[in-house]
Amino acid sequence: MNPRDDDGLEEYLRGASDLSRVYRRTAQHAPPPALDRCVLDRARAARRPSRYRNIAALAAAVLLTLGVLIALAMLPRTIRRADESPRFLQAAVRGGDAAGMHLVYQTLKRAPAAPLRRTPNYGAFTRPTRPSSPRPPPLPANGAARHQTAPL
Amino acid sequence: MLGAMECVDYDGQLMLRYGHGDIRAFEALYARHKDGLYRYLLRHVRNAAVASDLFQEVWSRVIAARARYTARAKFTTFLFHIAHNCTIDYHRRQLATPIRFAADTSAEPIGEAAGPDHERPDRRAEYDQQQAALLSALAALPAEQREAFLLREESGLGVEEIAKITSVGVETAKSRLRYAVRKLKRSLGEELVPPARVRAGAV
Repeated sequence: MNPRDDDGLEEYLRGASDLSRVYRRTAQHAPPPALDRCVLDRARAARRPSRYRNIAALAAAVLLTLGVLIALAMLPRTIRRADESPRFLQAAVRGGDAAGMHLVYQTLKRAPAAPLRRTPNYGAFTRPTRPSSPRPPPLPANGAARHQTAPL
Repeated sequence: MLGAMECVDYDGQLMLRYGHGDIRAFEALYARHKDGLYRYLLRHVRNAAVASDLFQEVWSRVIAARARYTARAKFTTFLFHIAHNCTIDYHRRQLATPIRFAADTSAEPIGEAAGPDHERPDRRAEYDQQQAALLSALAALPAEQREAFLLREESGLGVEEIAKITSVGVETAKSRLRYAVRKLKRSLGEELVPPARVRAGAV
């Protein structure tokens, strides 16, 4: 590092250099008055609390409250519908829940009868199945059956 | 130096007062710093329209920060840090659009200097000459050195604050300033001789 340069810098930093003097003398630009007005107006507007902002906040709060009230009014119906949903009924049957079973019964009673499903007739394409075990002997008549039972 | 510290405290107080809704405090603050900030931006980006846009942006950020401002550092450091960030953003935007960048740098519509001294016909030519020489010498500097010099001249900040604003080490900031001063002195040459001495010599 050149010590002479450092001396120049120190002199400059003290503000005693010719360079600073020339710069300050020539650098006399200022922002245009329109720019001043623009910035100052913005500063004033930012300081002032906006009336419209308060109104908008109030309107948003009213809308939100109304929305919550409407949602609460609709809620029981929604829950009832959810209770009767097929998934809930299946879960109730599977779990053996008594209340659930009662609900299933009530629902089925209310529901219209489902149309019969017609299974397609495959006819010749279906292979007859052979019974896996021999058929049990036919039951005897009522009287014979009664005789076979052991007397008490 | 003591006076500078008092001024800094005063600026911080003005900003805090504006944060509490005192518009007079902002007007005083603005009057104190508007010229230096405008010149810093104008010399840095070398385009009056862009400098005006950036000037508004900087003050908008200051206004937006009024509620959360705390006088932890000098207000000048705070202000020029915002200005530095705005110019960085501007240069990044320009790099993203290289065609516009080339068009903007070619133009240098810096207006006429204004001031009562400048209006005198005998000094006008002298000022014009010095200003042209200074502006061309500044424009020839690398951006980092130019910024260091402008920060020093326009904000009056020390090397430590310049380093903080430009996010570099103190030695780096000092080195940039040293190179800037050396190059400007070399470029200006005779222009650096004070007018009084020149006139005395001529007479």
